[in-house]
Amino acid sequence: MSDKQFKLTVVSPDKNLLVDIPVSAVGARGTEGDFTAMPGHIPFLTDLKPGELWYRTNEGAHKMVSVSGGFIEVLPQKVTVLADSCELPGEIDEERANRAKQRAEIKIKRAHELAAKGLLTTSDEAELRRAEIKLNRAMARLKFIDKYRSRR
Amino acid sequence: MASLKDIKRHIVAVKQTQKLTKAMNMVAAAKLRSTQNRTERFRFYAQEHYRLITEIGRRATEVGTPLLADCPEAKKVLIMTFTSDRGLCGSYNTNVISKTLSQIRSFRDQGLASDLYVVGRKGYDYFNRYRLANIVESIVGETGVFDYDKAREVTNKLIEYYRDGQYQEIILCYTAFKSLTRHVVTVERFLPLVEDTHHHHEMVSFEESQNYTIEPKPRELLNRLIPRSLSIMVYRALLESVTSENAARMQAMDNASKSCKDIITNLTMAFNKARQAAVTNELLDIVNGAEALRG
Repeated sequence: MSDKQFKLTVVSPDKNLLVDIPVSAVGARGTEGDFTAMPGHIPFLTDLKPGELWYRTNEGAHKMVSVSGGFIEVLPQKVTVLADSCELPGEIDEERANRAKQRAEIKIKRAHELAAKGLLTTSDEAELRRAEIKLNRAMARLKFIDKYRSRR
Repeated sequence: MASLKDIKRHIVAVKQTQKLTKAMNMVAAAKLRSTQNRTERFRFYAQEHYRLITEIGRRATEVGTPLLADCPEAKKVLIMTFTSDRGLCGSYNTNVISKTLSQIRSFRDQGLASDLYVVGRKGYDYFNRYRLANIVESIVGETGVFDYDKAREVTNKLIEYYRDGQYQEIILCYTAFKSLTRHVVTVERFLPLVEDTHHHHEMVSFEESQNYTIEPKPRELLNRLIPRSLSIMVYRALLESVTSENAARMQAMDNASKSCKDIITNLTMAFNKARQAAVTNELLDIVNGAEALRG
């Protein structure tokens, strides 16, 4: 084994998607921007935005995983992703993501209408924020599917 | 000696019970399968999360979020204890309750009063009836629909209690699922989150500590990471408990079915003997009658 590789673990509450997979690079979208981690990276912790996470296997294949938020911990020998939820490209339910997107859009629109009339209560506001997060997630999933298709 | 009819009736009754226990056994087995899978997957996630938070917490003492610090002035502790809503699960509830009681006693020896946060009807009924500790809150009849959102809600409440400075410590008391036949009642510290070691060890600043870079600001990230870790602990304790409950019920029902079988065997034996005795008696009567007639 060369020292040019490390282990990747991707887990979510209901799934252990990848456990200690040897990889040579991992890339993700953190709150402070995209980054790529290579073996020997300094210890690093950040939270993830909904979107894609990619990694390169030892054979050089480029693989992708969709994550919807969470945390990523990078250590010199190991990368651990604690995702809210995570999916392989084949696993995403496009229809469901579409439906979630529509639902969120309707809610956001309604909230904006209320806001225009000055009737927005705090609970509405909380709901608006939740809807925005949901929209974000759905969009990230859909974008991920698109990207994966075009790459193939 | 019981009459033939009585024995027969008894056998029928026990057979009915056996049907019931067998059905309950199967229901518990089915539930167990689904919860066991979920628990085992979640356990891994929870462990990774816990490792991360203790690692960071130890290094991040200087960040000083109130949830990492303890409040030694408080004279009370809160014990969150997980029991089941339904019975017929062997010694499952008894074990959790007696562990909780021993915790209460040991805290009392340290001069600390205990409050309880009870999950499950069985625990609530017990502690409520004997007034052994003050129940601040309880969740009854919801262990079946307890999900992660609920865990988060509970956690937020617990965090509030802790922030108010009422409690020196909050601990969880639940049954960890080790295997089908081994369930261990576990006591786990919930808050303060990290072992209070920084008073004794030299302070390690962020920059020195293996250069753990944290983006965005450590404090912001910790503020998000910590509540999540806590919800995970609560949810995990619940999943473990529910899994253990189902396993315990499955076992209890299995034992009950076996006892039913034993009882039926014994009763059938008694029934046969009684019948044979009756037949013999009748034969004797007939033979005696015939002898008498022959004169």
